[in-house]
Amino acid sequence: MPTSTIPAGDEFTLDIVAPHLEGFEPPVEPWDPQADGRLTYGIYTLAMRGARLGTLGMSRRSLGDGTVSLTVDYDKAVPGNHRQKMAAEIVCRTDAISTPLRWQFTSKTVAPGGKTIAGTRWTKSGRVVDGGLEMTDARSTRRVALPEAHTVNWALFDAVMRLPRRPFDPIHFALVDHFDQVKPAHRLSYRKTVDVVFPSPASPKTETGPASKAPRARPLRLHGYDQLGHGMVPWVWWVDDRGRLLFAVSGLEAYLYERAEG
Amino acid sequence: MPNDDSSSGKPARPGPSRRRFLQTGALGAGGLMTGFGRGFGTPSPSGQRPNFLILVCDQLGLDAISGHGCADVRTPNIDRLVRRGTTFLESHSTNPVCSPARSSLFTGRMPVETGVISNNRPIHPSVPNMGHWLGRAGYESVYCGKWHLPGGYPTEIEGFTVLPSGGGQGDLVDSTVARNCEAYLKNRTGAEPFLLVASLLQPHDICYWAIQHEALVPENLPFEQLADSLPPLPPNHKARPSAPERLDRMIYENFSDEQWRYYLYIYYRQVEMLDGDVGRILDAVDDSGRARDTVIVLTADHGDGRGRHQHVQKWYPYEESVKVPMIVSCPGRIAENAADASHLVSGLDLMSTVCDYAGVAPPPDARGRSLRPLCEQQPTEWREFVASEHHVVGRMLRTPQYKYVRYRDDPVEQLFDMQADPWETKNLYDAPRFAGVVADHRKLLDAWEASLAPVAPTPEVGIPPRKRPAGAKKRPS
Repeated sequence: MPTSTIPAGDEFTLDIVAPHLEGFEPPVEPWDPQADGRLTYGIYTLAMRGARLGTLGMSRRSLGDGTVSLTVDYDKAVPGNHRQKMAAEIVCRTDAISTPLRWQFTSKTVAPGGKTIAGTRWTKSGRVVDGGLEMTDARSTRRVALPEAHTVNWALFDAVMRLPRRPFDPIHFALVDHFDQVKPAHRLSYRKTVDVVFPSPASPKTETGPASKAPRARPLRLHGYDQLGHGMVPWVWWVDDRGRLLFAVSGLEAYLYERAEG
Repeated sequence: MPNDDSSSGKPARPGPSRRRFLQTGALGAGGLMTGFGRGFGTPSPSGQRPNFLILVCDQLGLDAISGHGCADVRTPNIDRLVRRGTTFLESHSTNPVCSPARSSLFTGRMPVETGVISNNRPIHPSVPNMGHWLGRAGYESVYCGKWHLPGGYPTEIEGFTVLPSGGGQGDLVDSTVARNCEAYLKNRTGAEPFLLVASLLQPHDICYWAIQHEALVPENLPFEQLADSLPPLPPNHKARPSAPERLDRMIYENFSDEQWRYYLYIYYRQVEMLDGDVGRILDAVDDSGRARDTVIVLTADHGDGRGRHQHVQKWYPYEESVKVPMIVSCPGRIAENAADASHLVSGLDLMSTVCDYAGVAPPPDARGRSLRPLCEQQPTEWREFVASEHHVVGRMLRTPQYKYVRYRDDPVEQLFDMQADPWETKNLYDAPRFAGVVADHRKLLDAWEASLAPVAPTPEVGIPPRKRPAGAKKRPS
């Protein structure tokens, strides 16, 4: 347990996202990671001064049979005012790593007017069958071996919210990255609990002088988890005291909480 | 013996040939290291011209994949390509900087001849690129990913149809590039053959682990679990061969040994990220039914220091910077599971190789050699050396046994015996017993330089200095 509150800029991975969280107000609304709901994150690159590039929406809906449906809405800016979009549904168990049972996604790049760039739209589905992953699209069906413990990268956005907020034995699994590339030897473990405060915003100036009321930064207790494994730069996942995922940071790639619904 | 002519039968360029450094047959002394499987050199099943998939990686060193013996990384997909094709273990960048190297890949000319002497410059308008050249021959030329000639991810590239991508670094972009290439390959219905360039950015992200090292490589290992599994330091980490001053200035001193090892850990994970995206595209070729009609080439613009000579990044003529993969595959046409450790090849050769397989004469001034005879294990004469450019004023010349480096603005030259000292730890240029070797290499380089046909450097395109925020560093190349 933390003994004091530290600036977020003093904590590994929070230090690099802190400049993008000026004025960040920790959510105070109730949150139940077992319940239906939707969280929205900003997609950031952290190279040099960094930039917000788009939005990731993650929704969770119980299907009533011990499984949930996760939907992923990914929308990222591409140079030339194009956008990269990906929409997916993942049906998964409610276990520690949100083990997926089946999924389908559609990916496309759209032009400034909203028209899909010719040739970029693709839909693919996957399901776990007989110890393997079967992926099907309009052209082919491909089967690859898959260890029993596995998950897809997007399902971890759901899974980490239900992890114990204290030390636990590391969870080992294979990662199905972006729905089709199996990357072995992943390990999810408790990192630490830390009380941090994010930088206060600089008072925005108006024509008549400084704004009178800028949002105040507040201390926040965060529980961190490490994800290490082949095929990716380590991830650090940060959830609040209710388990709500607020920040996910992997090297230069970050997802920062913006709002919740439902 | 021709040094830099294409395979089109045109006369060889004037070039140095006083000494014959190399064997004259593909199966000459030292030839192919590994065996090869089925027959090759057979025409496409359909009898048509082949398609091309060119996988361009960024900052991928030749020995940074498991298929080339690296124990610190796992690259099953690139290894799959190694097994399915011919990999060249003496493959060199023409200039280990992003834009210049890429200008050579897509034109077959040295960077001084493309006008791209440094980053963010366009290819000289007099020099056709691969998209133009094959497009004129009836190919559909498509580009997806990093271009940098200029502009990282332009939505229009002369000679190519562009599948837009970009937005962030390799971690956020490459999966999009791979997915768009998959969609292109699977959606495609046209009858004409295609040239698809998939230009992936990883492991270039490692640049930021040096630039933003305070946040990304903290003094204390950020993941205690890794303490016992970090890659070892390279054997030449502390090597300090005498070097031109500009190379010594690049020695990177911000890391402890543990930080260096963490840096290596991250680099190899980024190579694995690249590998996953390569796998997605290779799967798409297979699933589209075009595997036997598609020549696949995987190469890179340059490598990364990886702590060798205590360097990060690229820019210098040491092996970690200048050696890049060159893997060529097409089942049934190209020798499989073959590793060629004897022929000196260059990024220049990509253009001529593609043209050869396409049945198209290469552009008139392309300097590269077609790798086709080597890929098909046909006897052929081969070049005596490869050359590489550095910092505008320097050049490296690699012969089978030696590497020679000279800068116009520095009296220190470099000569390494690459067979006795593959880690480049002893500079022999002023050792009396190597005086003859140095003299020979000076003459070779003089002749090479005299054979070049430089064009005026094209204008640098980028952020005007006055608009760059105060204190902001230039982005890495």
